[in-house]
Amino acid sequence: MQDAVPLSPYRSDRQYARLETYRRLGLPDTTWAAEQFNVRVHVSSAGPMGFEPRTAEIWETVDRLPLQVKDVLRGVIDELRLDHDGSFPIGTLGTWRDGVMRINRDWSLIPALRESRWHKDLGYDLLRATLVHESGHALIEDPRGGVPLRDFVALIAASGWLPHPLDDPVPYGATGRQVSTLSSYYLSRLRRMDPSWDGELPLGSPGMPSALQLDRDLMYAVGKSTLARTADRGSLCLQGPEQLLGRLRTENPRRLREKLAERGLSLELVDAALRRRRALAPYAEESIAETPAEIFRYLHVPFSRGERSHQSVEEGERVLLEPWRTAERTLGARRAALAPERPWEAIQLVRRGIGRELGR
Amino acid sequence: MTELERRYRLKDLTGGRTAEVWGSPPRAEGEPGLCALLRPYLDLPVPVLTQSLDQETGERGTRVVVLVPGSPGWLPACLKRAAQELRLQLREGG
Repeated sequence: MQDAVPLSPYRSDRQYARLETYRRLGLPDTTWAAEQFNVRVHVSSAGPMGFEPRTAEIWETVDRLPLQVKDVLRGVIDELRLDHDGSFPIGTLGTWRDGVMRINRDWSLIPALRESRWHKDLGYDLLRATLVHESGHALIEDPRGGVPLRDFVALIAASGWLPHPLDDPVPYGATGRQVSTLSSYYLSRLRRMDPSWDGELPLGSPGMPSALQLDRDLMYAVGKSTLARTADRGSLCLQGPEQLLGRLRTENPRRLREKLAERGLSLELVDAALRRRRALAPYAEESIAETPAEIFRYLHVPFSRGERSHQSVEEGERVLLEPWRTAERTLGARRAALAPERPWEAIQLVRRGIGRELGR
Repeated sequence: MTELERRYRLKDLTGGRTAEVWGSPPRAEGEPGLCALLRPYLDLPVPVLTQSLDQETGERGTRVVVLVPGSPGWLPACLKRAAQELRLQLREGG
């Protein structure tokens, strides 16, 4: 029998008041963000002039985020900073690290977003995608209730990450057919490499190695001669399916076929394994750490029904959404809060008859 | 199969119109009205999200980069955007 899905710790029955409610009361947007998401808020005043409309649009985007993402912001993020463009690497919309989310306050001025022929909502779509993606990182790596490493690795396996078949033929056999067996295999190899990897704990838990080390242990390419010469413990050398397909295409087919045969594999078997699962987007193939966050982004901002059949999406629904959905069903649906947090503003709101109007 | 050999099918879920896009430069074939809607996208650069990572601080981020027509990954990214804006279903064919 399958274990019951645990409830997401980020879902409470506390409601959210809308940004509009605060604006009608003449309260600053930053007050809304600080109160509603229980975060410290900082808005930089450095950099180019005229930033107020752009920061206002960021808060409006936050206001329209799906409820689960808002719950992650409230439950996981400690500080929300709207920093000026110069404080980011070129073209960066937002970042996350150790409970601090930084959003590029001058997002609409990024050169890549200023092509006049593009759809007017494009910049907004990408800003929203960034907020959801960075919230995904925060959710996955949060030690207080994030995703256990076992499930993280399942997302990697479901996204088609594989070793080169000549380095490790096991995933191309029966082990690789099911996501569950493939991810158990990856986890056992990780633990052999470093026993401090614990499948039951989320990344970020005390005693667990860092997310950067996970990237390294799963995907760092290290040559056999280096391994022989040094004390390097190596890595699983996983590659995204498109990257691996591209690499295999450059190899001599006859020699590849011979070497595969020595390992009990055929080109057809390798091809079938590579096509069994695909990454959702090039972004999800850039590094192991990006894959779960990109699945989380996709689950909240899908673009096509066809992609719903992806195994990574199915696994993402199980790992990233189901605990939250179970909590949502258990605790009941929420409506927007009719008033800000503070009692004085709440009274003013009711006196002015705004609460009833906004509650619809 | 190379990226240039991939064929993409787009379907208008409300009207049932379909079109297929492939090749470099990309060609669109199928229902003429739908092909006409798709053509403006087929010579347009497309912005996509990619990662940024500060190795010193470990700060992860999301960066916008522009894929120009014909560059690797451009066609699927371009069709995803067209599908999103035109409300089409996108599938990769054989």
